[in-house]
Amino acid sequence: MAQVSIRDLEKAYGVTKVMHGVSFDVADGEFVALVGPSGCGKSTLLRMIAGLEDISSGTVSIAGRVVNEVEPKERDIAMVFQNYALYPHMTVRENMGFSLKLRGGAKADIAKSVGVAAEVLGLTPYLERMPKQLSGGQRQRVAMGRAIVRQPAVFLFDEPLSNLDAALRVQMRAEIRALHERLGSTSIFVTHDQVEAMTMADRIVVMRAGRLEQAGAPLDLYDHPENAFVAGFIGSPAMNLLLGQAGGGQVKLSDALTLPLESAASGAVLYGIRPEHLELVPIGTSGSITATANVVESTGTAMFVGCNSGELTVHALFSDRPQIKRGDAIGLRPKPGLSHLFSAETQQRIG
Amino acid sequence: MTRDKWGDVLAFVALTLGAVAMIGPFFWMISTSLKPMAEQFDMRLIPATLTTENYPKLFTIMPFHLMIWNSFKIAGISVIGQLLTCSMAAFIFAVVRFPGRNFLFVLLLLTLMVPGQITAIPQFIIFKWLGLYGSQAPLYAPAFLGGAFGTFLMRQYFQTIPIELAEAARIDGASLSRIFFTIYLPLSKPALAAFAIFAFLFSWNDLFTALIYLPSDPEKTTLTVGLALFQSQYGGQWTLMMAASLISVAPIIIAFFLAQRHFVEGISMSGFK
Repeated sequence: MAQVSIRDLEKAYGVTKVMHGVSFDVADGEFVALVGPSGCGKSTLLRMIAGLEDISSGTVSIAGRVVNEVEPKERDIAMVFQNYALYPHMTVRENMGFSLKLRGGAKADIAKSVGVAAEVLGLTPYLERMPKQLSGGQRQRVAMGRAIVRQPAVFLFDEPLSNLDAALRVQMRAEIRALHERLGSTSIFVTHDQVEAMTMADRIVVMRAGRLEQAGAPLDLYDHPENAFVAGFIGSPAMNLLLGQAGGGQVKLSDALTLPLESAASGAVLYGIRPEHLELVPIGTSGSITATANVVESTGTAMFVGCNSGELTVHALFSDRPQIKRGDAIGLRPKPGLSHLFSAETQQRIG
Repeated sequence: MTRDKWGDVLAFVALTLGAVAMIGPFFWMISTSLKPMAEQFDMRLIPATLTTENYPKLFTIMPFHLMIWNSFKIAGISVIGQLLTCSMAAFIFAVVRFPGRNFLFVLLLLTLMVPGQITAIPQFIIFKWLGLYGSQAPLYAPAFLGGAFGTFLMRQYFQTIPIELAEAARIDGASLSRIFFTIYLPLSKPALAAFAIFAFLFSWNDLFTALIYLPSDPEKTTLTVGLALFQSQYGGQWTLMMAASLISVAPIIIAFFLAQRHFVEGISMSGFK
């Protein structure tokens, strides 16, 4: 059964419509990431699920119950905010126990629940501290602790990792995911970072400008993006999307460059190929692109090469370490069966 | 010396002159209040003959102690009323989104433009009709009806508190009043302290309202009225006059020093300078 069900959700501020009918389901125990560029409405959507934002039309259901008119506290949800929103004048213990105290729980029960949550999160030594005496990562854990003591049906995360440094972010990513498994909870996680979404989520919902672009498993989105936006958004470095004319089993990208095509499509298209799906071939190999490298960046595990072929800019990523220097001319050939084709007009996938 | 240092020197000199200009008359007041009557026009800052006789003499002329108590009582009650009602209104303006919020807030600010003298007569009629003329209630009751200045000051401060705190508390199950009393008020101590001093000063210094409602009964009236009466009767006796003035400003100075740290913090944090 769907734990959270979003149906035709719309949001308008006055006459300005910012969400145009979004629908998706989150299954019990699923970890769903909402991604999209800033301003795409993902945070607004999360806040509508939480009950912090009014719903203009459509429904939000949690555990089979429509909650449009239900107060946030009655929705059986907990939320972790981007800035953690810890109460600065309360100790960690008081922060975590606040919701239970408001519900009128017995002191001993509250202490026990807080103790268990603190144990899980490794916060036991810090229970009597004030939030400002904690590091960023610890504050993040307290914010999660405050959510888990309530044992909600659904956890909502609003970009919780964006205030942490890179190393800590990777660590917390794993911790949040592990916690999700351990509690068997349902989580909805908002992020603008597609790497975060790819690594953490069972399923990703990609949004843009108040519309749902595609929902699916991370690798499905990577392998079969339904439109050019998702193709460009998912995957890092981003997919090469080259404008061209298709026809006769070929796509003409420029006067000098024509590549073979496995699809029978014709007309104006966007030809997509991921940087990691380009292989290095001798210059002049049939079906290859001849280009000049002008950016060469190596991270040790991979080598990123940005090159120009006439007017076209193409990025390639190699996991071995080819000998390429800035200014070198190289031949790049798309690996067979790994290219994508989108209509230039509708941006939708056509092959 | 660099340009910056010259700037510092200039600022230092200007501030010193300012400080002397501010504190000079104050020292003169203390000095005069400690002189015997015969030396009141003696132009020395340090009195030739030091005496405290003016102070006990004041209390034999007029029951100043009663008036001090009255002023304290009225100012104290006013402060409580203002802190409570203004911060409540400010909280709603800062945290709750409702239609017409900005319009109402502007309307509230507009009341700052209306001089008290204009509302004095209708207010007098209302209090008379309520049968409260001659009591102290008209001096502190209005404090329980909010006010534009305090609401503005507190709203500015509340807006510096991340709204997510209120939202997190709402999800945690807190009602609006709960959020106000357990989250916002405890986090606003500096602003509350600053506003408390403002409200206290306002009430303590108020002569106009006290003159209207409590003309001269020393049992009920305030220190400001007492001082005014005193001035009209003993106007030429500066040593007594200065002693009386010192008594009237002393509580304010003490209150300011006690709350100075909060006061400055509150003013600067609410962006109200």
